[in-house]
Amino acid sequence: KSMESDGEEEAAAATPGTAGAAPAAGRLKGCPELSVEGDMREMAKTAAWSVSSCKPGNGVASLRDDSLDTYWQSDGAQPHLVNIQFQKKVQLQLVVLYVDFKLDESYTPSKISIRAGDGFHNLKEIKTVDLLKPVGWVHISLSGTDPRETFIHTFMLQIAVLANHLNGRDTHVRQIKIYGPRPNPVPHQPFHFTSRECIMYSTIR
Amino acid sequence: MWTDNIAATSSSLSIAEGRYFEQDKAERTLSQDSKMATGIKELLGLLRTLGEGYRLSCLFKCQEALEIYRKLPEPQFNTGWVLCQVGKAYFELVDYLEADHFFEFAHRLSPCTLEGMDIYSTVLYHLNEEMRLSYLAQELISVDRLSPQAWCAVGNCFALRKDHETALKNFQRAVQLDSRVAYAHTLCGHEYSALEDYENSVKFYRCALQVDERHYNAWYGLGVVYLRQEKFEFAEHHFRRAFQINPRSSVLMCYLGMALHALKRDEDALEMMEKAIFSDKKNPLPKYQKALILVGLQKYQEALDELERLREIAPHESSMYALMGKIYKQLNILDKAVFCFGVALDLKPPAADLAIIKSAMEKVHLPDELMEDDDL
Repeated sequence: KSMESDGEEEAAAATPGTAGAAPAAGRLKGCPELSVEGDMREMAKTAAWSVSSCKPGNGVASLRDDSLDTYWQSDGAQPHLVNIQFQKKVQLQLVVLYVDFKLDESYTPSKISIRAGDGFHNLKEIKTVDLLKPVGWVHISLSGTDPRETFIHTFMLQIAVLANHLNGRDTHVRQIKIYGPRPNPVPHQPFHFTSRECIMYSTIR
Repeated sequence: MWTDNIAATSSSLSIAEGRYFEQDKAERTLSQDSKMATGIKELLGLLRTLGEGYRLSCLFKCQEALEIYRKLPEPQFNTGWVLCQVGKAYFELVDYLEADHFFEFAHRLSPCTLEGMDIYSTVLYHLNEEMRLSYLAQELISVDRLSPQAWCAVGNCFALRKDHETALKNFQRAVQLDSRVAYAHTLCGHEYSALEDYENSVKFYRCALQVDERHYNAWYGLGVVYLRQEKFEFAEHHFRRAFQINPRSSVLMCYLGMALHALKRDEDALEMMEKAIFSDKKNPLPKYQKALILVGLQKYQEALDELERLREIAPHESSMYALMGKIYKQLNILDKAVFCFGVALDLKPPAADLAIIKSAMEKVHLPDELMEDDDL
C-alpha cells in the first residue's frame, strides 16, 4: 500500500465523492454526503455500543442519534475507544464516521485504527487511517485487496482514535455508521438475482 | 290534443281511431313492460356476471374469474371497477405485465378510484418502475391524502429505493388511517422483515391475519421469516396455508418447495418445483431452485439442463451463470467453469456475490473442498 503525495490528495479531494470513496490508504478528508452503495445496509442498530470514556452529556448515545449537532466527547487518556459488539457473527464492509475539523479543531481525530475480533480478548488491527482536517463523512472500507477479503466476519469491532489534530487530547466524533451486505431477498439462495425477469418473480408482496 | 281533434272532425273515424289507439296504447305498455323486463333481466344478468367474477376472484380462481369478466360487454368491461378486478386477478396469477396493463387503463379511466391502487403500486414495485410508481403515489396523495391506499403507494416507492425505514413509516401511516386494511399491515411486516426485525415483522403479519384470515400474503410473509430463522417446519406450515388460499401462484409453490428442500424432503420439493414450472412457464424462480436441489443431489447434468431452460427466459441473469460455473467446476470442465464465472461477473452481481465468484474463479484449478467454504 503506497502513500500518495499530498498534492495528489488535494486534487482528489477537490472532486466531490472521490475523497470519501477512495480506499483507506492515504489521508481521508470526508465528504458532505453519506453515500453508500444500495447493496449495503447499516447493521449496528441492535449491537451493544460502549466507549472508553465520555464527558457527561456527550456519551455513546450521541454517536447514534442521527444528529450532526451532537457529538461524543472522550474524557480520559488516549487511545479513545468505541466498542461495537454484535449479537452474532456479522459480515462487515464499511465504517463511516462524521467528523468536523471546522467545528471541533483540536478535538478532530487524525489517526484512527479499526480492530476486529470475537471479543475484547482477541482484537486484531485490520486497518489504520490518517485523516487530514476532515469535514463530513469519512468512509473507511474494511475490505482487503483480495476478493476473498471483501468483508470481515466478526463478532466485535473497535474503533480507536489514536491521535487528534494539533495534538489535542480528547476527541469528538459526531456519528458512526457500520455497513455490511444486504441479505439475499430469497432466503437460502447462494447468489442474488440480478435481472428484472428473475427479481420480479423472486418475492411476493 | 291530437285525439280530440280527430274526434271533432269525424266520429266514426274517431271510434275506429280510438279503438286503434287503445290497442296501440296497450301494445305500447306491453312492449314497455317487456322492455322493462328485458332491461331488468339484462341488468340482473350483468350483476350476476360481475358477482360471479368477483366470487371467483375472492376464491383466487383467477383464471376462471378472468374468463367470466371477459364475457362482459365492452362498455361494462372498460370501467374502472372491472379493469381493477382484472388487474388484480393477473396480479394474483403473478403476471405483473398484464396486471400493469389493466391497472393503468383503470387508473386512466377513473383517476379518483382508490380501491385496488395499493395493489397497482405493488405491481409497479415488482416491475421496478420507479418513476411511474412515484408518479402514481403523488397522484393518489393529491386525490385523497387520508386514504390508506395512497400511503401504501408512497411506502412502496421508498421500499423500491431500499429506504426501508421511510417505507415503514408510510405503511404505518396507512395502518393508522384504516386499521381494517389487511394489506397495510402486511406491507409493514415486509419492511420489518427487510430491516431484519423479525419480531415486529411477525407481529404485523399476525395483525393482518386478524383482519383477514385469507390474506395469503401475510401467511407467506410469516413463512419467509421462519425460513430465515431456520424454523423449517413452521415455514412449511405457513407456506402451505398461503398455497391453500391461492393455489395458482407459482411463486407460492416455489417457496413451499424451498421449505420442503430445507426439510430435506427433496423428492417432495422437486415435485413442487415441477408443479410451479408447469403452471407458469415464464417464472424463472422454480427453475433456479430446482437446479439448486439437483446440485445438492449431485445430479449435475440435470441441473445444467434446467439452467439452460432458465436461460431461455432470463438470458442476462448473473446468478444463473455463477451456478453454472460451480457445476462445471464439479464436473471438472474447467474452461467452461471459468467462462461462466466470467459472464456472471460481467452481469454486475452485488459486492457480496462478486467476492464469492471472483474467489471461486481464482480457485478453479484447486481441489473441490476449497470451493464449499465460501458458500453463503
